[in-house]
Amino acid sequence: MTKPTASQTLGPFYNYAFLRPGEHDLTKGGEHGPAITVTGKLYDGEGNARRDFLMEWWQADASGQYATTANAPFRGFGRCITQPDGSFTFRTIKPGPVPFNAGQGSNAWQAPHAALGIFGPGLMRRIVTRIYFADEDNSACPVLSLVPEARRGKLIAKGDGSGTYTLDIRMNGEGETPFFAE
Amino acid sequence: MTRIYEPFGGPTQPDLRTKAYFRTTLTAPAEPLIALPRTVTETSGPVFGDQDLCGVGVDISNNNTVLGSLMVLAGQVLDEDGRPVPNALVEVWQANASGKYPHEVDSRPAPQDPNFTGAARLLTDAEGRYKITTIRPGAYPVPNTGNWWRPPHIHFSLYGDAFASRLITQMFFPGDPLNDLDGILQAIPDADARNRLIAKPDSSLDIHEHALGFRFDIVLRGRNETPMVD
Ligand SMILES: [Fe+2]
Repeated sequence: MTKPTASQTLGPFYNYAFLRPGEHDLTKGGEHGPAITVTGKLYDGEGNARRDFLMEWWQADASGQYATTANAPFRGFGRCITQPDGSFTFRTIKPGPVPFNAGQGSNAWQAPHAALGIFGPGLMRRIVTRIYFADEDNSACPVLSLVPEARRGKLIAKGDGSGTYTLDIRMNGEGETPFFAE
Repeated sequence: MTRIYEPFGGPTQPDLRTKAYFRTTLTAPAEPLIALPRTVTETSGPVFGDQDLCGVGVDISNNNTVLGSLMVLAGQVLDEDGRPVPNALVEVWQANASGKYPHEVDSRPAPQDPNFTGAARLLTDAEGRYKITTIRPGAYPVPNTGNWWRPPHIHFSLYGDAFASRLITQMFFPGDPLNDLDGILQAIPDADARNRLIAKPDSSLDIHEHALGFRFDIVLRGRNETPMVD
């Protein structure tokens, strides 16, 4: 067994190498369900909104299936770079619930969610969190239940009733977003 | 067969909170990271195809028109179980020979090179191999740090076939005196792990009397599920 190669920071000078046009929009290329917008701002430990951080989004389709080919109708992957005001926006559909660890004898289901990876200047490794939805039943999600109850709300985006969900992410300090070990 | 991976971290990875790299104090989570058994969310991942390359090729030297010392850079992408990772998305970016990025945020008055786009993008082949042509990048200063110059380095972004097998790293050059002074490379506590970020000269990759060959292999996290611990 070989140790994974060491991570290094993304650094500040990368936008031109990464972003493909419209990559924050997971709905492009077809109708897969009602489109939603997930938006928020990224903050650091002093409450400064942080620009030029790379966010990567990974989710299942509406039936809870993850895409397994490059030409799947719904690919489930998006990227965006935070704007000068720290904001990020993804356009997507609601994912369905996905199994927890079916192969290992668990019958539990994870509530609809997206995995979110964040890279940026000042981050030596990726930090990973999740986004859940306030209008779903999150009460029995075995992953949410790993998060201390008082902090769970920091993972749950609130809807405005017309398809826009909002969740701010705080990397450090007061009101810090829960992040998962990899 | 499934195995339990060691948690990502330890001395072969930089700490999120790194003294040598001043910016980390505001972006590293202070709360402990929450242990998560790998679920289908982490063991699945985006699959990329030729359409995702958007015509960005593997020749940063732009058909020998970019100024600098020409080099061929190649290697193999493996996972921590030693298996080649085919069809991994590899995105490469770097500064030009004078240490300037073709990016509006890089305001240092070093010369631009009109033929330099500074990026390559590819999918690894069936054996997990990649190969690009480029020029050796220049060193550049980090603003507002006194006298810190980044050693010449090439940025690599890799996506294996799982959300868990994601890596962004940097490749360095052997023998450069700035390597030992670099807060970012030196943020990795383990010396062997630092050395694995340094490319090796490889004459089998040379283009005779034209470009110098270097080899840089990369190991991504494994793709298996983590069994429940009972
Ligand atoms: Fe750089």
